[in-house]
Amino acid sequence: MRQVEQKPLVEAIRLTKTYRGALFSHNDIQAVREVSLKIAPGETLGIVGESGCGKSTVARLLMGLEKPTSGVVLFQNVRIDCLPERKLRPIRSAFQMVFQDSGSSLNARKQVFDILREPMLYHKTVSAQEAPTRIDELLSMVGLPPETKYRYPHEFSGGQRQRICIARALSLQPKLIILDEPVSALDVSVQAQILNLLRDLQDTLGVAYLFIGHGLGAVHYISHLIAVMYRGRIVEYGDSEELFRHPAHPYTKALLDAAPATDFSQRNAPRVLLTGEASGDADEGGCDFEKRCPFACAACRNRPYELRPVADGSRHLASCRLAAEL
Amino acid sequence: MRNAMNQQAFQRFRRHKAAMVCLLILTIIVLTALFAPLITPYSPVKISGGFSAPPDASHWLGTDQIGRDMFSRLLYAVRISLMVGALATGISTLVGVLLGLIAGYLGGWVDRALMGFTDMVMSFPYILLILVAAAIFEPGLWSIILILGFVDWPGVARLVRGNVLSLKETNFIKGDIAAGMPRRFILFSEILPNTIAPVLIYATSVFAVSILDEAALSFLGMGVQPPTPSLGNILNGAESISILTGKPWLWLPAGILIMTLVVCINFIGDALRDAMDPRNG
Repeated sequence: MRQVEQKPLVEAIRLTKTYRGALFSHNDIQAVREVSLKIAPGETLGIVGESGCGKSTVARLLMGLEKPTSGVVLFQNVRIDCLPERKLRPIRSAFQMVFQDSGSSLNARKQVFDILREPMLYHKTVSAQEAPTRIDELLSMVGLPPETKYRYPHEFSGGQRQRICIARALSLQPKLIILDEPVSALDVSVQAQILNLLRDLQDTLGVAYLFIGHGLGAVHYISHLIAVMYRGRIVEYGDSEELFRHPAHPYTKALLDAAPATDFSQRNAPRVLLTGEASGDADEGGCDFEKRCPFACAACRNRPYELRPVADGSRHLASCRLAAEL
Repeated sequence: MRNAMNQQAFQRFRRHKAAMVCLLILTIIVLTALFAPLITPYSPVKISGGFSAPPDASHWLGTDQIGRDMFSRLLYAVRISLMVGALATGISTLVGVLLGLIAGYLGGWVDRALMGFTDMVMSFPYILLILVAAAIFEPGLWSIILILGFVDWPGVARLVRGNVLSLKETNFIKGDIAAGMPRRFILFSEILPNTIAPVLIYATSVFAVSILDEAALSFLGMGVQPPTPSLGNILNGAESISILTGKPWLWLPAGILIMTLVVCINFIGDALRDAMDPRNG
C-alpha cells in the first residue's frame, strides 16, 4: 500500500442525491445517501455494488455532471459542487471520465485525430504545432499505433475504442480519472489488457482513479481501497485486500460468495447467497439490508445507519451490527 | 480520408435504381431551366404567335391565351418554382435547425416557450395562414418565399430538437462537458454534424412540398403574379372547362412537370435516407 494519510485529491462529504418521483407521487428516489469518501493522489478507490445502488450517480456528482441535493465535493480543497458551469469549466480538465459504453463515448463523425486534438487545443495543454506529436504520444501510451489516428471510431474494436477514450481522458493531464464500469462491456481477455494498461498508466503518471465496477475481480485487482455500496449508501469501506479477506458486512460477503468459485477445494464452502432484489421502498429506518440479510434479527430493524470501524482504530469500516463477528 | 464515409454513402445511394433515374431526370430539368435562354428563342412574356395555338414546329407546346410561347413559359416557370422551393426550404431549414438546437440544448423554459410557439405554428391551418399572409403582404415572388419559409420550419425544429435531446444523453457529449468544452463547440461541432443527415432528408420533402404549395398558391392567384410564369399560375389558365377539355397543351405539361419534380425529389429523399444510415452496410 501507498502512503496512507495524504492530503486527499478529492473528497466527498455526506453527498446526497434525491430524484423527484413522478408528478404528485411522494416516492422520491434517493439514489445516493450521505456518501463520504476521499481519494488521495495516485490512489485508486473502487466502488462495487449491484445495479442501481447509486455508484454511477456518485461518479456523476463528483464529475459535476449533476448537482448534489446536499453534501459537498472538494477537489484539491476547492468546493466544486456549487460552482456555476462557467467557473467549473477551466478546472474540469483536472478530472476526467471514461464511460462503460465506448461505442457512444466517441463522436462517430470525427477521426481519432480530431477527437484527441480538440480538447487539448481548447485547454491549451499543447500548441497547434505540438498537437500531432502529442497525439502520437498519447496513442502509444494506450498501446495503439500512431497510424490509427486517421481512423473513425467505428473502425475499432470495443477494447481499442476504450483505449482511445482513455487517451482522450489522459490528453488533458488530469489528476483523477473516474472510470465508470470501463471494462464491463468487454471480453474477459480484453478486460485484463485494459486493467493492466490502467495500472501501468497509474504507475507512470501518478493519476488517481475512481473505479466503478460490478465485477469484483476487476475492482479487487486495480483498487487500493474499496467502498461497497447498497441502496445509495456505503455499507463497507476498507483496504482492498483486507476487505476481500475479511468482509465485515453480510452484503459484501454475499457479493464475494456470488462469484463462482474457481478453486475446487472451495466449491462446497458455506456461502451467503441472496434472494430477492434491493427494494426501492422509502427509507423505513433501520438497516437497509435487513430484509435480505441471512443474519438479520429484531435489533437490526431499529438500528440507524452508521459506518463504524470494524475494530478500534481500524481503517476498515462497516455499517453492520455484527461487523466484528462475521 | 474524410471521404471514406461519404463514399460508402454514395455507394448505397447508387443501389437505388429509381433514385438514380430520378436524379438524372431532375438534373436534366434543372439544366434546361438554367439554360432556358439558350434553348428557346422566345421570351416567356412576349407575344410571339396566335392565341391558344396548338403545338407546331415553331411553338413546340403551342401558345397560351394571349399568344406567348408555352415551351419557354414552362422553362422559365421551372426556374421560378425551383427557386421558390430552394429558398423556402433554405429559410425554413435554417430557422428550424437554429430553434431546434437552442430548444433541445438549453431545455427548461426556453424549450417550453420555443416548442409552444412551434406547436402553435404547426397547428395553424397553413393554407389559411398563407392566404391571409398573402393578402396582407403584397402577393409576389418574395412574399411567397418568405411565407413558405415561415410555414415549414416547425417540422425541422422538432426533428432537430428530438435529435439534440437524444444526443445530449450520449457519452461523447457528457465527455465533452466533462472535458470542459464550451457550449458553442458542443452545439456546432459535435451535435450539429450528427443531425445533418436527418435534416437533409427532411429538407428534400420540404422542398417538394414547397413546390406544390407554390403551385397551389399561384393557382389561387395569391402567389407569383403574371406575367412572370410559374407552374402554378400556368395551371391557373386551366380553370375553364373548355380549356381543360379542348386545349390540353395549356395545362397538361405544367401538371406533368410538377408531378415529375415532386416524385423525383421524394425518391431522392428516400434513397438519401437509406444511404445516410451507416447501418445499411
